[in-house]
Amino acid sequence: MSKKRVISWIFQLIVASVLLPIGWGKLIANPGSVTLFTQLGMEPSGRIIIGVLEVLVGLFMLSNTLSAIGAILANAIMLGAIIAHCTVLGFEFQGDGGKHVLLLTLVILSSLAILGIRRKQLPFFGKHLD
Amino acid sequence: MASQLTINLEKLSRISNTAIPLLAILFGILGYYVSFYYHFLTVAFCMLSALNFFYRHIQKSHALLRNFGILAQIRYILESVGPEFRQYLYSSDTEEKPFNRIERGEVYKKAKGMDSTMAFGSQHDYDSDEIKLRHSMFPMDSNKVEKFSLTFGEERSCKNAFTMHKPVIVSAMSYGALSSPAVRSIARGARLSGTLMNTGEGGWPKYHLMENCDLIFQMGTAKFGVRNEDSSLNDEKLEKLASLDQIKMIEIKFSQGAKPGKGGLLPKEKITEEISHLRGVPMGRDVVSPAYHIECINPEETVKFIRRVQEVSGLPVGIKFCFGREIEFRKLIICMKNQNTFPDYISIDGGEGGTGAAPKPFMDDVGMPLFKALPIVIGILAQEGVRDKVKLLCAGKLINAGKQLMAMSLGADAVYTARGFLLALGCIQALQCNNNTCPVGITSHLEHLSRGIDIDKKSQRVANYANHLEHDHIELLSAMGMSSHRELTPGNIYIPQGFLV
Repeated sequence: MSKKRVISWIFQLIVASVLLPIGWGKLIANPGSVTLFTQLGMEPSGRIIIGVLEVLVGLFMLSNTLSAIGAILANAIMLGAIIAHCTVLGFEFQGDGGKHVLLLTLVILSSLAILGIRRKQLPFFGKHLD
Repeated sequence: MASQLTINLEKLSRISNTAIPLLAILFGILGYYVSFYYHFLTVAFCMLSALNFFYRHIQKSHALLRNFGILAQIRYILESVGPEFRQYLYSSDTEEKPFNRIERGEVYKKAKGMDSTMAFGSQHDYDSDEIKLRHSMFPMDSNKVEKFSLTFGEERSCKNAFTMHKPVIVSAMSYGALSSPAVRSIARGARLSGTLMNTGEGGWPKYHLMENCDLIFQMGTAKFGVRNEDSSLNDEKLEKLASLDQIKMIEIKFSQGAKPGKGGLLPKEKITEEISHLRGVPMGRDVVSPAYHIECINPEETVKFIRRVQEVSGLPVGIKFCFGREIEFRKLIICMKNQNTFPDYISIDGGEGGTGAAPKPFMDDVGMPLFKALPIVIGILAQEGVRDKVKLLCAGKLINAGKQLMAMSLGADAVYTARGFLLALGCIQALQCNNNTCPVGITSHLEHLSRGIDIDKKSQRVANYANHLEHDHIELLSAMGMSSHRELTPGNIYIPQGFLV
C-alpha cells in the first residue's frame, strides 16, 4: 500500500469513528439529538435522514472505492452542521464546551484530506481535479 | 426561425455561473426564515459554487471548464460514456474497427456452437474492391476433402519434424499480455481441438504448459525465458526449454505487425510479481523489448543465428516478421541460399495485426498489409527458387474461414489468428488490453476481473471455434472443387484491380 493511501486510511478511520456513533445515536433517538433536532424544527424526519446519511458515510469510509464519495458527503453534512451552529444552535451546545464544534472541524479537515488524496477517484469530476 | 431555436451555450453558462451562488444564498435565507430543511439545498449549491469557483479560477488544465464552469462538465460526462453508447446503440453492424459487430458475431456464434447462417443478403459492400473466393461449377464431395496436414522441418530432415493437423494456429499471446485463466482457457481449448498454439514472448510459458497442448515457443527480441542479462541467447536455457515434450517448434520474432521495427511492450500496470519473475524484468516500469535481436545485425549474422537456434534446440525453427522492404528480404533469402540454411517456416505478420499495447503511430502507419505483402514474399521466394525450402504462415485479422482461405490461396501454408481466439473466449472489443482493466478479464491481472473467466466453459468455446473453422474450411474447399488445401492457388480468388499478385 502506498504512503498516501495509508494516510488516507488514517483519516478515513477518524471520520468513521466520529460519524458512526453520532449517526447511530440519531437513529436510536438519543435524547440529546432529539433536543437538537427539535430546536432545528426537523424532529423526527430530519434526524432520521441525517442519521442514515452519517451512518452511510461512516461505512463508506471503510472502503477503498467509496471513501472519496464519502468524503464529499461528509463535507456536505458538516456544512449543514456549521449552518445549524451559526444560525440556530450557537457555538456551545448543551453545555459541552464546544465539543460538538471541535468534532465537526476534525471531520471537515479529515475529509478534506481524504478528498485531496483520492480526488481522482471521484466519478466524472475526478479526472479534472489536477 | 432557426436562430430563435438555437441555444446560446455561452449565455447559458454565464447564467448558471451567476445563478449557482445566488441560489445558495436564496436557499440559505429560506432555511433561516422558513424551514431548516431548505438547508439541504443550501449545502448542495454551496458545494457546487465551490466546485465552479475551482473550475473557473484555480485549475488551469482545461480551458473549457475555465471559461464556462460547471456547465462544460456535461461535455466531459457525455464524452466519457461515448464509446459504450456508440458500441451498444449507435454504431451500425458494419462500422466498428478493427472488427465490426457482424465479424465478432460470427466468431461468438461459432464459439457457442450456434447456427451462424444469415438472411437476406451480404452486409458487405459487395461491389467494392474486396477479394472474393472463386467457387467451382463442379464442387467436390466434402467427404472427399483431405484432412489438413503440414509437416515442419521435413525439408532438412529435422529429427523432430512436427506435423500439424489444423490449418489455423493460435497466434502469439503471452502470459502478461493475457491473464492466467485466459491463457489456460485457450491452451486447454487448443488441446481439446488439436490446435497448435504460440506462446508469445512472455518468458517461461508456465500457464501454456499447464494444459498440455502443442506449443510453438516464441523468442522475442528480449528473449524472455532464454536470455542472458544483455538480451543475448542463452543456449543452455533454450536447450532445456526445447527438451520439453510440448514445445514442438521455436519461433524467432523479428517484428510484429502491430508495431514493426519496435520491440514488444508490456505496460507497467500489467507487471505482477509473477510476471516480473517469469520474464526476469523489474516491476514498476514498462518493459520495452529491444527493437532487434542483438545477434542479428545483418543478413549473414541473422542466418547464422537461425542455424544456431536450429542446432541448439533440435526443433523446427521459424521466423516471424512484418514485411517492410523487398530488397532486405531478398538479401536475407540470398544469404540463406549462400549458407544453405533456411528457417523451417516464415511467418508474415500483416500491418493490421493486433497487440496488447503499441504506440499509435506504429499501429496505424507502419508495416505492409498482409494481402499486399504475401504475393511479394511468394514472388521473391519463387524467383530465388526456394519456395519449397520453407513453409509460409501468415497473420493479420484472419478470423474467419473465408479470409483464411484467401490468404492460403495467395500462398500461405497455414494461418495464425490471435484475436479470433480472443473473441471466442469472450472478448467484447473494449480496447482496454493495455490498461489492465479488461472488463471480461482476458487481459487483466486484477483478480476481480479475471475471475470472470471459467476455464472449463471458455476452453470449450475456444475448441468449438477451432473445430468450426476447420469445418468451414472443408465446406469452402469443396465449394471450390478442391480436395485439399495444397491445391489452392491465386487463381482461386477474384482480385479486383489494385492488388499485386
